[in-house]
Amino acid sequence: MSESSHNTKSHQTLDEDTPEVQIAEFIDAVKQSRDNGNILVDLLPERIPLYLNRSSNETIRIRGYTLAAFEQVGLPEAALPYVLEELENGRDAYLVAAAAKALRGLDNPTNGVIPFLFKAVENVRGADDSLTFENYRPQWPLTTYTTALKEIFYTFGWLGAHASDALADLQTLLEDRRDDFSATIRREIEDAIECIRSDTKNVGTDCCARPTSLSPQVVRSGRERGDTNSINDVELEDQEGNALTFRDFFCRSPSIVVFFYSRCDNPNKCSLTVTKLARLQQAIRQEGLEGQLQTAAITYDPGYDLPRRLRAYGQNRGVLFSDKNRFLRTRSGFEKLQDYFSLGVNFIGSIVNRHRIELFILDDKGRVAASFTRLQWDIQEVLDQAKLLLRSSCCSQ
Amino acid sequence: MDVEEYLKQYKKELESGDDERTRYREFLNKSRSVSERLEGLESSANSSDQDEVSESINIIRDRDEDVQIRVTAIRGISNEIGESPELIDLLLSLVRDNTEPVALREPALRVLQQLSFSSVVFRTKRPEYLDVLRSIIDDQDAELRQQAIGVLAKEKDEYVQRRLLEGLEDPSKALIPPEKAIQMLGFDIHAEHYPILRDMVKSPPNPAAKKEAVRLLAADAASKNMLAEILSDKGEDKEVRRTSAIALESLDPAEFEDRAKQIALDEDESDDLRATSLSGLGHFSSLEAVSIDSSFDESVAQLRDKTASEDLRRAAEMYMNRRGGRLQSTQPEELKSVQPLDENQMMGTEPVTVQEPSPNILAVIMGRVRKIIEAIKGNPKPPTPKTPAGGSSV
Repeated sequence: MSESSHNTKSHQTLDEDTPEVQIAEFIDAVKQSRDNGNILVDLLPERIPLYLNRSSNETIRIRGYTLAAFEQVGLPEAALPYVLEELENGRDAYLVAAAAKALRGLDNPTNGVIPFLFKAVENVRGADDSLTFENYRPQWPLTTYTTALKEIFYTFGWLGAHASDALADLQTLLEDRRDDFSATIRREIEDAIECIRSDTKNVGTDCCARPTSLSPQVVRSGRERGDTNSINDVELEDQEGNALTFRDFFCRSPSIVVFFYSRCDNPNKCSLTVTKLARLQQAIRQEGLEGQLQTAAITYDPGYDLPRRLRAYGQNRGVLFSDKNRFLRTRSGFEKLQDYFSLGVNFIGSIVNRHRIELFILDDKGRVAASFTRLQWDIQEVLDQAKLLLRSSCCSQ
Repeated sequence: MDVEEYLKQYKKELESGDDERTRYREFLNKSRSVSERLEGLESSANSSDQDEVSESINIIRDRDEDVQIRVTAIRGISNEIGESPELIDLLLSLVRDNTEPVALREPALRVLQQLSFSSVVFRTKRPEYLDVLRSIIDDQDAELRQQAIGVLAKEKDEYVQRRLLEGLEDPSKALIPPEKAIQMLGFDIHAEHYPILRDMVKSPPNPAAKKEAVRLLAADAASKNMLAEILSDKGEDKEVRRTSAIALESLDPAEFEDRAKQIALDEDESDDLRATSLSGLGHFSSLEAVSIDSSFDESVAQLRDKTASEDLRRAAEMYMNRRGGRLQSTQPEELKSVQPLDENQMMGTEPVTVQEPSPNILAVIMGRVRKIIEAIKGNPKPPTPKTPAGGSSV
């Protein structure tokens, strides 16, 4: 089920003006009944009005409280990409803890989530925090609290036999890296190991089982791609200050385009995306496709990411600029791009408050032929998809 | 430094290390008076001897002991505290306990702050640390409150942001003065304080708050017009206008250039604002954009030659240097002191001269040397440096 197909009452009644306390009451009401998970999924897409003009921390509170609620109401498959995104890339302890809790709402546990849990351990190890989901917007001092690492290791234990593949790595954490964890967390790891070992049920061969919703890739055939009439005249400016339109750059050759902004404070998102873009450029050159495939990065923050910032951000991460490889900002019409690409982003004023990882492969008419969103994209997979596009373009000529 | 010189210095360190250990043992001696115990003890005095560490811990825990002695004991074993989760817990409990004197809690908090940077073990205690900090933002002592708030604000902590915003919206709930609250919120550009900052510029509780609000609006593209108006407002406070110039340059260099040029040549403007404008044009504006305005360049050259203000003259000169010294000065030959810059100097890529390390860095290095010497004296075999625990995959 795609993110854009959700269309329920809950998503429509909560918006930017809804006080947080009301949102929390809504979530608390939904939590009363198991199998209400689909209602909460509607609160997760970044672009919905609920998140408009809310600060990053407010957005984190709402999303975290929502994710944590899946433990009680059940975790539908449509919510899984959001949960895994947080484990794979999140750096906020509240959200990571919530995602770990959310996994415990799965009706069918799978060992496909194990790599994401281990990634979350590394992401949050130096940034763990004291937190609670007992109530929304808690006041300190707290009588009890949990932490992201606690929740992650508790989830390992909850997976039981499904996490038997994780035993060796958990043992390594305990023995070779014990100084990385407090005594409390080491006990959690020990408990998790004990739970996994003592769960003797036969879970079959779900080795490397990865639900289809975990794939970040969506491919569109020619007929599904629509047209670019709404954005062809969007005015852009590149990293050298050259003015051009969307049509000028994107409607002459297939392109790979990512979205980013220089003030992103999550190194697993924009900084890594642009660094990988530089490596993708290298792979394109090595495959001899430099004249055939363009690359671009468009900023979510055109008011701040002026040409000098675009240039510096790219250069510092190994990007090579040329006529076919540019960083761009909109001079006007960013909302049109936002709609055309269904960008997973929202703002407080002009500043991004939340966004997902997103990469699009465009055909030579600027239409979206494939998208890789939310989870980390693999450079070779992206390149292979782009090559398929090039081949299909050749065949159709 | 040659080998002989190094050996002399090493021997001197050993001797002074001996003196320091003697003084620390005297500090631990409860039969002496407080002033005797503290006398001659350097503020950086430290001990890693296990018996001395145990005695120091007992002193820290002893509520009947003099506060200054307890504080000195904390500092005396700060390195050991950084390597022990239990000792970190001890300090955390001291900071949290509002029945302990502030004169003890505050230095304990400072030691914890230092350890948050220097101690690998401390990283595992981050949740407890943040929990304690949040617990004391309502403390009766203003200094302790502000310290805790400062640390949390730099962490972009959602709880402290929430509380600071509450305080700005309702002064009866304010934890710290509004200009400080704004400064704290400014550590996070993703916070929701920009509408409050804009309101604060229009109706400031005090001049300091207004200036701070203007400074932080440099991150808010929606405030461009407001900043431009402040810069051009001759009735506005000078410092606020200067702050808005810097903020506007960051947000909209083209708009800044237009306004800065007008200000630089306006004789009704204050000299220091004119100098600020010229400095901004010289440092940050694109060389291509400014260099095509030859009439402005000529005006700057004349300004440099005629102004009585030293700051303005220097700013004009710097601006001209950035233009490559292409401008002809109207000064007499003997007053021409400006040499044209070569390309490397203009682009800031000239070779860098290595400077001597600052005294502060030397003090840190010498502190570590002393620790190594202590270890050698306790164990004839030289200590091997610890390798960092684990490795981050991110």
